[in-house]
Amino acid sequence: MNIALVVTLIGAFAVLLTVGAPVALALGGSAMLTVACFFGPTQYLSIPTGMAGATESHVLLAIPFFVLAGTILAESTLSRRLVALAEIVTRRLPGGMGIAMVIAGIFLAGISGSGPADVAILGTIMLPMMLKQGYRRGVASGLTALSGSIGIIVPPSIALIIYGSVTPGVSIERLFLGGVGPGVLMGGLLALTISRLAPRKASGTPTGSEAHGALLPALWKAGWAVLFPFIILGGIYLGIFTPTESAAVAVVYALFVSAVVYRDLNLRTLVHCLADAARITAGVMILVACAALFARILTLEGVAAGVGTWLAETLTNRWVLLLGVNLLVLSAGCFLDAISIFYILVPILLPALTHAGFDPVHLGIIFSVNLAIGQVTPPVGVNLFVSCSLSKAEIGETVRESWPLLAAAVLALVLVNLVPQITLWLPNTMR
Amino acid sequence: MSASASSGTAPDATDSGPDAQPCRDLLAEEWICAALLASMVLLMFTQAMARNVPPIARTALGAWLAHATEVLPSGLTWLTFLGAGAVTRRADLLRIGLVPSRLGACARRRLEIVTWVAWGGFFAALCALGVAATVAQRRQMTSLEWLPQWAVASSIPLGAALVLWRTCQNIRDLRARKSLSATQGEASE
Repeated sequence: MNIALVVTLIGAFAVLLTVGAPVALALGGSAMLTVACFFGPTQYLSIPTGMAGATESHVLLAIPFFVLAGTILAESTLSRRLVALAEIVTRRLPGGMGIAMVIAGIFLAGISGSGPADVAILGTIMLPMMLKQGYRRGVASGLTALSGSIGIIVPPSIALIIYGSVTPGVSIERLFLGGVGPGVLMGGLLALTISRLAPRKASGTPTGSEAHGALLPALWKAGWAVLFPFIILGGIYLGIFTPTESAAVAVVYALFVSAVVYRDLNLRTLVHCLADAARITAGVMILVACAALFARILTLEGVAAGVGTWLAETLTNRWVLLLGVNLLVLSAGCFLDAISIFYILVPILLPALTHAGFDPVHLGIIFSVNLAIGQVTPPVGVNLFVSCSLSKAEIGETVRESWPLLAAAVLALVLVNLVPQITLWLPNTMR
Repeated sequence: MSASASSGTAPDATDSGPDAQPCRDLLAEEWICAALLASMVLLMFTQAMARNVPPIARTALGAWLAHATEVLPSGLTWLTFLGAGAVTRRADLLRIGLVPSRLGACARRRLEIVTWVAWGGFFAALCALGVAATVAQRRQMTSLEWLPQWAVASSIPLGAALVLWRTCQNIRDLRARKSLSATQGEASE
């Protein structure tokens, strides 16, 4: 391993990241600088061909399609209908509004696949309702951020598609199924916690007949949204579609629901949805291309193999190894995005972990739960920033008041680590 | 500190709902990428349906669809590099600005110009390398055997050149904003 090369690569990356350069530039620029300094001119052409190769993937093709489906549905009244249904179902429970937010978060995650987008939708619709019911601003803001972060665990998660593309021998179908249990577990723990944190006046509005009377119309109005995840996942697991095809089916379903059923979509909106989805995809894929370039140098120089061997030799106890990996991914998640982390850390950590007997699907979900928590923790919690800007709460206030919710998420992480069946039961059952 | 910083150098289509935005606000590359994405969805959906209807799957149309779908990953490469121009112009890039948030407005703008220059430099190098890669691969075919490699590789120099142009526009706008604020300052004095 060439130490000077590694120092140049990591040093340039850290400097660019710190001065506020785009993450893609930090990854790609540091890799290009390293190739220019340490490799011969014969290697220069590997930069563009490597970047193009990273984007030319059949698995990653699902990303623009799922993003487009999410963009179309976000423009429709679907999210409001979904929230209304969740609110009616949970209104008799203590902390019903908070639980409704968690449920809506899980269903929205099954539609959009993007955490920050879910936070923006939940925050716009439900945060004002929670504040009106007397929830503390920090608690409401923290719950919004955490409910949105479930999107990275529950299918169709873009992060899981990326993990599947960088991990040989792991199917997207198994990853998607593996995310269901941990996503529901995390949602359940958050719901339990928010029912304890809810203000007394928000607890239970026992208007039984009223609630029953409103349930059926709300279910009728939101039924198309509730069906969405089942159609997508059902199509994949009944063998009708591949995951990429299911993403295209998701787009057509979203178009049908928005344009024909709800009549929310016109041609101009559709063109904007297409342009937005294309731009979001380009932003994600440029990051993928640059991260692949960075990871390739780490692999070529033997850094990934070296660190992996060192980890396996030093941390001989598999649970200590898993704890170390969790701490590493959790701290990386506080600074970096999921795509960069998967490209940089998976080649380094996966060989040691699979050698220790861990299932790659289980590991992918463990990584995702860590990253979900990273999205709501300072200094770089994307979801936290979005929810704080919507709720007008200070970041410190949110972290201080919503720590029990964060603790519930960490408990979910611990359980997912210690009980692999939470992740693997569904993929193994539906094999 | 911000995880997703945007310098606001161009009108942002996502700021308000599409109904408030006429389609003419879209950039040229956004139109192309939107059309490309729509075609990709259509092709993939038709293939998914045709594969499940045996009478169609067995026809020449079914064979053509299966063949055409193979080219979609190359479409994703084009979407990535063409869309990068729009991402640049809309300043829709993921950043982790730990230092900029601690700087004054003037220093922050200078640092932003420096990072845009670095971004442009990266894509200028990528453009030059992309031209060389396209030329080197002009006689090669992709694994599909009917699609030349240059048809995929040429997306890199074209996209990178577009990003370079959009970066120059962003830097120009940032400099114009500085001179505008200086003029306003003089006028108020």
